Amino acid sequence: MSPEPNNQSRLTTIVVIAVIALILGIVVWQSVITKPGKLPEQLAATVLPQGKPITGLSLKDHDGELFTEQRFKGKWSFLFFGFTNCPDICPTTMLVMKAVWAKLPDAAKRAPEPQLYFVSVDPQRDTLDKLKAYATFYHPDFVGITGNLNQIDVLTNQLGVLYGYEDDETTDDGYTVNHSAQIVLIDPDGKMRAVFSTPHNVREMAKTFVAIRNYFGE
Amino acid sequence: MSLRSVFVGLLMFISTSLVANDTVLQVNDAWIPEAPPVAKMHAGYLEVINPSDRDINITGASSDAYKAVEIHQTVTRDGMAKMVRQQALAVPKKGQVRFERGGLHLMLMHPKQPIKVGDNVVIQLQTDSGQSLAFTATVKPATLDDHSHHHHHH
Repeated sequence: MSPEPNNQSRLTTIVVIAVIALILGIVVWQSVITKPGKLPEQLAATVLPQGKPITGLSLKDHDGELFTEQRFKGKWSFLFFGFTNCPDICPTTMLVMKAVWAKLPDAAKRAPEPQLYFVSVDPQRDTLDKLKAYATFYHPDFVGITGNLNQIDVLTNQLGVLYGYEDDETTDDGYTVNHSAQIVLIDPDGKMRAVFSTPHNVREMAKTFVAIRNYFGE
Repeated sequence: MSLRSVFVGLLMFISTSLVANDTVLQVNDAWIPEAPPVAKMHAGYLEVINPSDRDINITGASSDAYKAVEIHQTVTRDGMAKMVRQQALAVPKKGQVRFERGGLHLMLMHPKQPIKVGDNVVIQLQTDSGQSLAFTATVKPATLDDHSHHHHHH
């Protein structure tokens, strides 16, 4: 046997090992360093792959503190919209979120803890005190936020949330409020990341949030 | 006791008798979810059964515990939720209508006193034949569980 083919096969072996190592490395890199796996195809939410940055907010939380998009940074935030004189759909949505909370595994609730915001689109009737009493009745961690109509519009326009007033002679103030019933998920970069449309299924929502948080990270 | 109150009492006695004899609607599992004390609007959920051979329209509702009671339907269209008042609600013969979350509900407006779990609230339904059907709704903790679904065990 001549030494030449021997060297050749040794070289081939080295190249093959190097290629395998490279492929393995890429696979490990992808699974460990970057996002683990894929988002499941069946999700209870519409996910925005790029996310949509939310800007220009100047609202008040129910303790009277300024609420800007900075409050979204570093945490996942659920937002839903309504008003405290709403007896059916708003309490139901509150209870859905409370139940989703209870269903989340500890891993999905780990710090930084996700936040829950109830945005009142009826600032004329919903004072901050009233908002606080309403939101915390359903869950001690719920935070009510509101502002004047212009400030509310800055948020709702960016999220594609609709609301409107309708005459209603039976209420003291003569109107009632119609509003979008979806729940919006904001990511820790302050980007709108997903929308949960009605009807809301508690188990599916909890699973979907776990998948989204795992996929997009903290 | 004035003549007037005797007369009113007599009327009430007669109408109660009529209700007992003629009202065919039945109400089951009526409840009111506990609401935040600041909430001026409460919801009432129940099941109305019509065992008779004719359709019956519910034309109104009232309660001494509230300033007004209406029948509302939550309608969600294109993601937008609105409440639509129902002037009349048909309960089909040999059929039933269920008031439940996200759908039909009694809109209990402006409670005269705060409600608390365990309270029993008397509510009347009026029908198109001029009858009044009184029933009791119990205030229960606000949970997602539909209290009327006794036969479901998930």
